[in-house]
Amino acid sequence: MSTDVSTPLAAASPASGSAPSKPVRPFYWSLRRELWEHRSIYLAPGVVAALLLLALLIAALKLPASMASFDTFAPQQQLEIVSAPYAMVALVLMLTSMIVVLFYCLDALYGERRDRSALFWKSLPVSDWTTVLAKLAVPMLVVPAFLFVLISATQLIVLIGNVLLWMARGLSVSNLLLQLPLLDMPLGVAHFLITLAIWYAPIYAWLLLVSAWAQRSPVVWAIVPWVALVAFERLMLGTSRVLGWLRDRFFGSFDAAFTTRETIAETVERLQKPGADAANAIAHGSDHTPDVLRFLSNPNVWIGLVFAAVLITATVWLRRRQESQSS
Amino acid sequence: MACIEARGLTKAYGKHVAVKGIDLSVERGRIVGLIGPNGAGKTTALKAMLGLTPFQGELKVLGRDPWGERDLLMQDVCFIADVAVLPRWLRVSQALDYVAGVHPRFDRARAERFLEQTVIKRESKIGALSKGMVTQLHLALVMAIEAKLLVLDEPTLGLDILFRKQFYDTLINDYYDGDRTIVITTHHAEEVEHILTDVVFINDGRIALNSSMEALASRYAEVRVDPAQLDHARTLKPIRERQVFGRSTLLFDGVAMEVLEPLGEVRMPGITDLFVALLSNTTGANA
Repeated sequence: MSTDVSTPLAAASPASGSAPSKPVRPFYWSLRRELWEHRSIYLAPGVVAALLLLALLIAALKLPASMASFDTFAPQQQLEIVSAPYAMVALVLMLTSMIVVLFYCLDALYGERRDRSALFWKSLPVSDWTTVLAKLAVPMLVVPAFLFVLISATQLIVLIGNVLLWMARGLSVSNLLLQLPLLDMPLGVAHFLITLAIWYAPIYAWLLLVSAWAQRSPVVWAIVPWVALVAFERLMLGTSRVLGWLRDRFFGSFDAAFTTRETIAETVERLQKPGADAANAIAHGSDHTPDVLRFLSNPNVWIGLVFAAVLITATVWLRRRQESQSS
Repeated sequence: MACIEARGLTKAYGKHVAVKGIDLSVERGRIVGLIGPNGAGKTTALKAMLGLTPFQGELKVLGRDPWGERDLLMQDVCFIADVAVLPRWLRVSQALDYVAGVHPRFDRARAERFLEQTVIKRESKIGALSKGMVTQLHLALVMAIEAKLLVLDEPTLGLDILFRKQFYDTLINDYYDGDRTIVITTHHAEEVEHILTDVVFINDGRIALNSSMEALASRYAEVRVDPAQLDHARTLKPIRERQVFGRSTLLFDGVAMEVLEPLGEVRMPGITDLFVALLSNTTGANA
């Protein structure tokens, strides 16, 4: 440890002392810290994945007798039947994560003010930008990456079980592997996760802003302004543009990111016809094809990102000043 | 270069002006006690120095603008604001990992050595530790940081007397090296006065007194006056008179030792007594 040499440069700079500085990674450790605090981010989807596998195992044991003639079904019907569990795994895990993540965002900056630990975090050389961006990176980067791994792993276990089941029932394994979109599935999941994160960026940013600002009940503050806006618009102008915009922001990411043979609305219509079952309808979604250009050329994607950037800037502004209120 | 240099430091919350133009210069290596009643503006002034709040006036800490460069400043400044600020969900080992990961001047081995002298377990959550243990942990983290300025805002609030004594002993024996600067605010002025080199009285957002302890000792004196000498002593314009065990004790400002010694028992006044004397004289308010 003989690096204790003062140079003229070091002497000139007010920040540099005689102590040797070691390399630091504030962003990385800020992210780690988020995951230490909010373990539900990975525990909740993990538990749900385990429950799903259990449910699928029970379903496999009670497989209807008609499945014995699976190999004679039409190819389209075969695809719809076999891909249903994979689509279900992806959707249920994403939905679980989404709920956890929305609550995470609301607590991210509220919690550290409530327990006053913000003062400890601020006593360390980590900027407010680093802190807020690390918190934003949880829903934008960490959760999509984790979900991709979790969904792929769960689907792989389903696939192994599927192959074993087919072998036990004397069905053609090669036909099964031929029917399953083995390459398109992970690609589709990755595409969906990435586009969803981008599409939801303004939602996450809004929740972080409320979390940095609300003195109490951030959930209420996150929702009430929008309810008020919708009601105001309906009463004063008789229109519902805000509501339409919110609906599009929450539910429009799939249509924005995938070229579809039929829209979600048509799927729902088909689902309501007699004889249709949910698994088939969901499986039908698997032939929606990922479309990067369609997504990138959608102006709402970019408007959303600009909106998110403004909200995040405001969030950093608030976090910087949060101690300047009380005396 | 002074460690802290403030000129006309002012901070208002809406209409309420908490700090009313403070001029303060703290040199390197001093241990400064900021003494004042609740709401005097101590904490607000400290917040401005730590980059936690914007302010009016000029303020440089270690040559930096605290509000504009808080994250850089915190490489050289440590603070303990209150013992309750370590997050309850954090584990001791995680606290060490985190500080080691973000602080370029944190010596983890040193922090581990301090912790070995305590009963704190690495895998414990902070929420499971007693208040005294949390303070020990926070102190272990802070003492392992090669900082130039340490700011302690009521660091021993809510601790029992043994922990409070131990806290300051550790600070002076294991941390203070004569080159570091320490700024302390506390309600227990009598517990820190023996370690201070300087004292700053703040009242109503202004500095009421700013003096080194040596200057204080040579300027102020407290005399337990012999009853026979009392009338004579009173003519020397004491700034405060009180009764201790039935004998009048008079506090003098700038009266020579040769004059005071014949009057009775002379000693250095305590900070608290001095504070009460000075502030009730200048503002009429009691501390």
